Amino acid sequence: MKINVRKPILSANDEQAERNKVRFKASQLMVVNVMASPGAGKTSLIMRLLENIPLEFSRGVIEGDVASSIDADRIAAVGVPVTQINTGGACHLDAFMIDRAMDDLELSGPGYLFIENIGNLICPTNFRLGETADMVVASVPEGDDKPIKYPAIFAQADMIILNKIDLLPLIDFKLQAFTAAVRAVNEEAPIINVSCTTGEGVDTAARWLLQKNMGSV
Amino acid sequence: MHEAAIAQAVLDTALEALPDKESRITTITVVAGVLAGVEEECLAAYFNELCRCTAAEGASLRLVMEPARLICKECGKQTNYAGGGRLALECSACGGLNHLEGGKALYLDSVEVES
Repeated sequence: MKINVRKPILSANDEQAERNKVRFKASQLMVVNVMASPGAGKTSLIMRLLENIPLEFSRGVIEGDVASSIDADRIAAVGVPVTQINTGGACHLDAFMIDRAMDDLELSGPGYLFIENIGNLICPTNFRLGETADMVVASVPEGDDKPIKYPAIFAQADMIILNKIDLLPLIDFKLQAFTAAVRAVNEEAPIINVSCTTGEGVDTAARWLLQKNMGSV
Repeated sequence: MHEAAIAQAVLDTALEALPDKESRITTITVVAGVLAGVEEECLAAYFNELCRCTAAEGASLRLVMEPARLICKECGKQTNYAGGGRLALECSACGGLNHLEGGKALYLDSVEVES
Protein backbone atom coordinates (compact mmCIF):
# COMPACT_ATOMS: atom_id res chain seq x y z
CA MET A 1 0.00 0.00 0.00
CA LYS A 2 1.29 3.42 -0.92
CA ILE A 3 0.77 6.33 1.45
CA ASN A 4 1.23 9.83 0.07
CA VAL A 5 2.92 11.92 2.73
CA ARG A 6 4.19 15.05 0.98
CA LYS A 7 5.68 16.49 4.13
CA PRO A 8 8.84 18.62 4.37
CA ILE A 9 11.61 16.46 5.77
CA LEU A 10 12.99 19.13 8.05
CA SER A 11 9.57 20.16 9.36
CA ALA A 12 10.54 19.50 13.01
CA ASN A 13 13.45 21.94 12.62
CA ASP A 14 11.30 24.41 10.68
CA GLU A 15 8.67 24.38 13.45
CA GLN A 16 11.32 25.00 16.12
CA ALA A 17 12.73 27.82 13.96
CA GLU A 18 9.26 29.40 13.95
CA ARG A 19 9.14 29.17 17.76
CA ASN A 20 12.61 30.75 17.92
CA LYS A 21 11.38 33.54 15.67
CA VAL A 22 8.51 34.27 18.07
CA ARG A 23 10.93 34.25 21.00
CA PHE A 24 13.35 36.63 19.24
CA LYS A 25 10.54 38.98 18.33
CA ALA A 26 9.22 38.99 21.90
CA SER A 27 12.76 39.81 23.11
CA GLN A 28 13.09 42.54 20.42
CA LEU A 29 16.19 40.94 18.98
CA MET A 30 17.36 41.17 15.42
CA VAL A 31 19.08 37.86 14.74
CA VAL A 32 21.70 37.49 12.03
CA ASN A 33 22.75 34.04 10.84
CA VAL A 34 26.34 34.46 9.66
CA MET A 35 27.39 31.78 7.19
CA ALA A 36 30.66 31.33 5.30
CA SER A 37 33.44 28.89 4.59
CA PRO A 38 36.13 28.40 7.25
CA GLY A 39 38.53 31.32 7.34
CA ALA A 40 36.34 33.81 5.45
CA GLY A 41 36.39 36.08 8.49
CA LYS A 42 33.06 35.44 10.24
CA THR A 43 34.35 36.09 13.76
CA SER A 44 36.36 39.14 12.70
CA LEU A 45 33.35 40.57 10.89
CA ILE A 46 31.04 39.96 13.86
CA MET A 47 33.54 41.71 16.13
CA ARG A 48 33.74 44.67 13.74
CA LEU A 49 29.96 44.89 13.50
CA LEU A 50 29.57 44.73 17.29
CA GLU A 51 31.80 47.84 17.51
CA ASN A 52 29.48 49.65 15.11
CA ILE A 53 26.21 48.99 16.90
CA PRO A 54 25.03 51.97 18.95
CA LEU A 55 25.43 51.45 22.69
CA GLU A 56 21.72 51.75 23.44
CA PHE A 57 21.24 48.28 21.94
CA SER A 58 22.07 45.03 23.69
CA ARG A 59 24.45 42.68 21.88
CA GLY A 60 25.11 38.97 22.00
CA VAL A 61 26.74 36.19 20.03
CA ILE A 62 26.13 32.47 19.66
CA GLU A 63 29.31 30.80 18.40
CA GLY A 64 28.99 27.54 16.53
CA ASP A 65 32.08 25.42 16.08
CA VAL A 66 32.79 21.74 15.65
CA ALA A 67 35.23 21.99 18.56
CA SER A 68 37.05 24.55 20.73
CA SER A 69 36.04 27.89 22.22
CA ILE A 70 38.65 29.97 20.38
CA ASP A 71 36.07 32.20 18.67
CA ALA A 72 33.88 32.55 21.77
CA ASP A 73 36.95 33.56 23.80
CA ARG A 74 37.67 36.36 21.31
CA ILE A 75 34.11 37.69 21.69
CA ALA A 76 34.14 37.33 25.50
CA ALA A 77 37.43 39.26 25.63
CA VAL A 78 35.67 42.39 24.36
CA GLY A 79 32.93 42.05 26.98
CA VAL A 80 30.05 40.88 24.77
CA PRO A 81 27.83 38.05 26.11
CA VAL A 82 28.56 34.88 24.16
CA THR A 83 27.53 31.23 24.25
CA GLN A 84 29.52 28.51 22.55
CA ILE A 85 27.88 25.57 20.81
CA ASN A 86 30.23 22.71 20.02
CA THR A 87 28.56 20.37 17.58
CA GLY A 88 31.22 17.69 17.97
CA GLY A 89 31.35 16.97 14.26
CA ALA A 90 27.96 18.09 12.95
CA CYS A 91 28.42 20.52 10.12
CA HIS A 92 25.58 22.96 10.84
CA LEU A 93 23.60 24.51 13.66
CA ASP A 94 19.92 23.67 13.98
CA ALA A 95 16.96 25.44 15.55
CA PHE A 96 16.96 23.23 18.66
CA MET A 97 20.61 24.09 19.45
CA ILE A 98 19.74 27.79 19.18
CA ASP A 99 16.79 27.36 21.57
CA ARG A 100 19.08 25.80 24.19
CA ALA A 101 21.81 28.39 23.61
CA MET A 102 19.25 31.18 24.16
CA ASP A 103 18.47 29.72 27.60
CA ASP A 104 22.17 30.13 28.46
CA LEU A 105 22.60 33.55 26.93
CA GLU A 106 19.62 35.27 28.60
CA LEU A 107 19.77 38.16 26.14
CA SER A 108 16.95 40.66 25.92
CA GLY A 109 16.53 43.55 23.52
CA PRO A 110 16.15 45.77 21.88
CA GLY A 111 19.35 44.51 20.42
CA TYR A 112 21.33 42.34 18.06
CA LEU A 113 22.21 38.67 18.21
CA PHE A 114 24.78 37.27 15.82
CA ILE A 115 24.84 33.53 15.27
CA GLU A 116 28.12 32.32 13.79
CA ASN A 117 27.25 29.14 11.95
CA ILE A 118 29.66 26.26 11.32
CA GLY A 119 32.14 27.13 8.59
CA ASN A 120 30.94 25.64 5.34
CA LEU A 121 28.84 26.69 2.38
CA ILE A 122 26.60 23.64 2.07
CA CYS A 123 25.15 22.21 5.24
CA PRO A 124 23.81 25.33 7.02
CA THR A 125 21.62 26.07 4.00
CA ASN A 126 18.86 23.62 4.90
CA PHE A 127 18.49 24.42 8.57
CA ARG A 128 16.45 27.51 9.47
CA LEU A 129 17.25 28.92 12.90
CA GLY A 130 14.47 31.51 13.22
CA GLU A 131 16.84 34.29 12.15
CA THR A 132 15.80 37.74 10.97
CA ALA A 133 18.45 37.85 8.26
CA ASP A 134 20.92 35.54 6.54
CA MET A 135 24.36 37.05 6.05
CA VAL A 136 26.72 35.18 3.75
CA VAL A 137 30.39 36.16 3.89
CA ALA A 138 32.67 35.48 0.95
CA SER A 139 36.31 36.54 0.94
CA VAL A 140 38.70 37.56 -1.81
CA PRO A 141 41.22 34.69 -1.38
CA GLU A 142 38.43 32.14 -1.95
CA GLY A 143 38.04 33.30 -5.55
CA ASP A 144 35.22 34.95 -7.47
CA ASP A 145 33.50 31.72 -8.48
CA LYS A 146 32.03 30.74 -5.10
CA PRO A 147 28.44 31.78 -5.93
CA ILE A 148 28.56 29.46 -8.97
CA LYS A 149 29.94 26.55 -6.99
CA TYR A 150 27.62 27.00 -4.01
CA PRO A 151 24.52 28.64 -5.49
CA ALA A 152 22.04 27.62 -2.78
CA ILE A 153 23.61 29.54 0.09
CA PHE A 154 24.08 32.70 -1.98
CA ALA A 155 20.49 32.40 -3.23
CA GLN A 156 19.05 32.55 0.26
CA ALA A 157 21.25 35.40 1.55
CA ASP A 158 19.60 38.65 2.59
CA MET A 159 23.00 40.33 2.62
CA ILE A 160 26.33 39.33 1.08
CA ILE A 161 29.63 40.56 2.47
CA LEU A 162 32.78 40.37 0.40
CA ASN A 163 35.54 40.40 3.01
CA LYS A 164 39.31 40.96 2.73
CA ILE A 165 39.04 43.51 -0.08
CA ASP A 166 42.37 44.93 1.08
CA LEU A 167 43.87 41.87 -0.66
CA LEU A 168 42.36 42.72 -4.08
CA PRO A 169 45.66 44.12 -5.46
CA LEU A 170 47.40 40.84 -4.64
CA ILE A 171 44.90 38.28 -5.86
CA ASP A 172 43.32 37.48 -9.20
CA PHE A 173 39.75 38.18 -8.11
CA LYS A 174 37.38 39.84 -10.57
CA LEU A 175 34.80 41.93 -8.74
CA GLN A 176 32.59 42.07 -11.81
CA ALA A 177 32.61 38.28 -12.20
CA PHE A 178 31.71 37.86 -8.54
CA THR A 179 28.83 40.32 -8.81
CA ALA A 180 27.52 38.67 -11.99
CA ALA A 181 27.65 35.25 -10.33
CA VAL A 182 25.79 36.51 -7.26
CA ARG A 183 23.15 38.21 -9.40
CA ALA A 184 22.50 34.98 -11.29
CA VAL A 185 21.26 33.39 -8.08
CA ASN A 186 20.19 36.40 -6.01
CA GLU A 187 18.86 39.62 -7.53
CA GLU A 188 18.01 41.38 -4.29
CA ALA A 189 20.71 41.05 -1.65
CA PRO A 190 23.13 43.96 -1.28
CA ILE A 191 26.78 43.07 -1.83
CA ILE A 192 28.95 45.02 0.60
CA ASN A 193 32.73 45.13 0.20
CA VAL A 194 34.49 45.00 3.54
CA SER A 195 37.94 44.70 5.01
CA CYS A 196 37.97 43.66 8.64
CA THR A 197 41.69 44.51 8.67
CA THR A 198 41.35 48.15 7.60
CA GLY A 199 37.72 48.59 8.70
CA GLU A 200 36.63 49.70 5.21
CA GLY A 201 32.95 49.08 4.52
CA VAL A 202 32.10 47.90 8.01
CA ASP A 203 30.02 51.03 8.69
CA THR A 204 28.01 50.38 5.52
CA ALA A 205 27.29 46.81 6.63
CA ALA A 206 26.32 47.95 10.13
CA ARG A 207 24.05 50.64 8.68
CA TRP A 208 22.26 48.04 6.58
CA LEU A 209 21.61 45.95 9.70
CA LEU A 210 20.27 48.96 11.61
CA GLN A 211 17.94 49.86 8.74
CA LYS A 212 16.78 46.28 8.33
CA ASN A 213 16.14 46.08 12.07
CA MET A 214 13.91 49.14 12.06
CA GLY A 215 11.79 47.50 9.42
CA SER A 216 11.42 44.13 11.11
CA VAL A 217 11.65 44.11 14.89
CA MET B 1 27.58 15.19 6.47
CA HIS B 2 24.30 17.00 7.14
CA GLU B 3 22.90 13.91 5.41
CA ALA B 4 22.99 12.24 8.85
CA ALA B 5 20.48 14.76 10.18
CA ILE B 6 18.43 14.55 7.01
CA ALA B 7 18.42 10.72 7.09
CA GLN B 8 17.14 10.80 10.68
CA ALA B 9 14.43 13.29 9.71
CA VAL B 10 13.42 11.13 6.72
CA LEU B 11 13.10 8.11 8.99
CA ASP B 12 11.14 10.02 11.67
CA THR B 13 8.76 11.48 9.10
CA ALA B 14 8.22 8.08 7.46
CA LEU B 15 7.58 6.31 10.77
CA GLU B 16 5.04 8.99 11.73
CA ALA B 17 3.13 8.24 8.55
CA LEU B 18 2.64 4.56 9.41
CA PRO B 19 -1.03 3.66 9.88
CA ASP B 20 -0.42 1.12 12.67
CA LYS B 21 2.33 -0.59 14.66
CA GLU B 22 2.26 -3.79 12.60
CA SER B 23 3.00 -2.11 9.26
CA ARG B 24 6.47 -2.24 7.82
CA ILE B 25 7.93 0.21 5.36
CA THR B 26 9.30 -1.25 2.13
CA THR B 27 10.05 1.89 0.10
CA ILE B 28 10.45 5.54 0.96
CA THR B 29 10.40 8.17 -1.77
CA VAL B 30 12.09 11.49 -1.10
CA VAL B 31 12.07 14.46 -3.47
CA ALA B 32 15.13 16.69 -3.28
CA GLY B 33 15.95 19.75 -5.35
CA VAL B 34 19.41 19.88 -6.87
CA LEU B 35 20.19 22.89 -4.66
CA ALA B 36 19.08 21.14 -1.45
CA GLY B 37 22.58 19.73 -1.11
CA VAL B 38 21.66 16.08 -0.61
CA GLU B 39 24.12 13.47 -1.80
CA GLU B 40 22.35 10.21 -2.59
CA GLU B 41 24.94 7.62 -1.57
CA CYS B 42 25.77 9.47 1.60
CA LEU B 43 22.07 9.78 2.54
CA ALA B 44 21.48 6.06 1.85
CA ALA B 45 24.45 5.02 3.98
CA TYR B 46 23.19 6.89 7.02
CA PHE B 47 19.61 5.85 6.34
CA ASN B 48 20.44 2.14 6.24
CA GLU B 49 22.20 2.37 9.59
CA LEU B 50 19.45 4.39 11.27
CA CYS B 51 16.68 2.06 10.04
CA ARG B 52 17.96 -0.92 12.00
CA CYS B 53 15.48 -2.24 14.54
CA THR B 54 12.71 0.06 13.27
CA ALA B 55 9.67 -0.61 11.08
CA ALA B 56 11.75 0.65 8.18
CA GLU B 57 14.57 -1.88 8.51
CA GLY B 58 15.57 -3.04 5.04
CA ALA B 59 13.43 -0.41 3.31
CA SER B 60 14.77 1.03 0.10
CA LEU B 61 15.20 4.77 -0.19
CA ARG B 62 14.26 6.33 -3.54
CA LEU B 63 15.64 9.80 -4.10
CA VAL B 64 13.97 11.76 -6.89
CA MET B 65 16.09 14.75 -7.86
CA GLU B 66 14.21 17.85 -8.93
CA PRO B 67 16.07 20.21 -11.28
CA ALA B 68 16.36 23.96 -10.85
CA ARG B 69 15.58 26.31 -13.73
CA LEU B 70 17.83 28.84 -15.42
CA ILE B 71 15.76 31.68 -16.82
CA CYS B 72 17.31 34.30 -19.09
CA LYS B 73 16.51 37.81 -17.87
CA GLU B 74 16.74 39.13 -21.44
CA CYS B 75 14.85 36.68 -23.64
CA GLY B 76 13.15 34.48 -21.04
CA LYS B 77 14.57 31.21 -22.38
CA GLN B 78 14.34 28.50 -19.73
CA THR B 79 16.73 25.59 -19.29
CA ASN B 80 16.90 22.98 -16.59
CA TYR B 81 19.88 22.89 -14.27
CA ALA B 82 20.32 19.32 -13.05
CA GLY B 83 23.20 20.06 -10.69
CA GLY B 84 26.78 19.13 -11.44
CA GLY B 85 28.76 20.75 -14.21
CA ARG B 86 29.19 24.46 -14.38
CA LEU B 87 26.23 26.71 -13.72
CA ALA B 88 25.68 28.63 -16.96
CA LEU B 89 25.60 32.32 -16.11
CA GLU B 90 24.84 33.32 -19.68
CA CYS B 91 21.87 32.36 -21.84
CA SER B 92 22.80 29.97 -24.62
CA ALA B 93 20.42 31.73 -27.02
CA CYS B 94 21.07 35.46 -26.54
CA GLY B 95 24.01 35.75 -24.11
CA GLY B 96 21.88 37.56 -21.51
CA LEU B 97 22.34 36.92 -17.80
CA ASN B 98 20.53 33.87 -16.44
CA HIS B 99 18.68 33.75 -13.15
CA LEU B 100 18.47 30.53 -11.14
CA GLU B 101 15.15 29.51 -9.64
CA GLY B 102 13.73 26.51 -7.77
CA GLY B 103 15.61 23.33 -6.96
CA LYS B 104 15.25 23.74 -3.21
CA ALA B 105 12.54 21.18 -2.47
CA LEU B 106 13.17 18.61 0.23
CA TYR B 107 10.19 16.53 1.20
CA LEU B 108 9.00 13.01 1.89
CA ASP B 109 6.76 12.18 -1.04
CA SER B 110 5.40 8.77 -0.08
CA VAL B 111 5.97 5.52 1.76
CA GLU B 112 5.04 2.05 0.64
CA VAL B 113 4.00 -0.21 3.47
CA GLU B 114 3.03 -3.85 3.98
CA SER B 115 1.14 -5.23 6.95
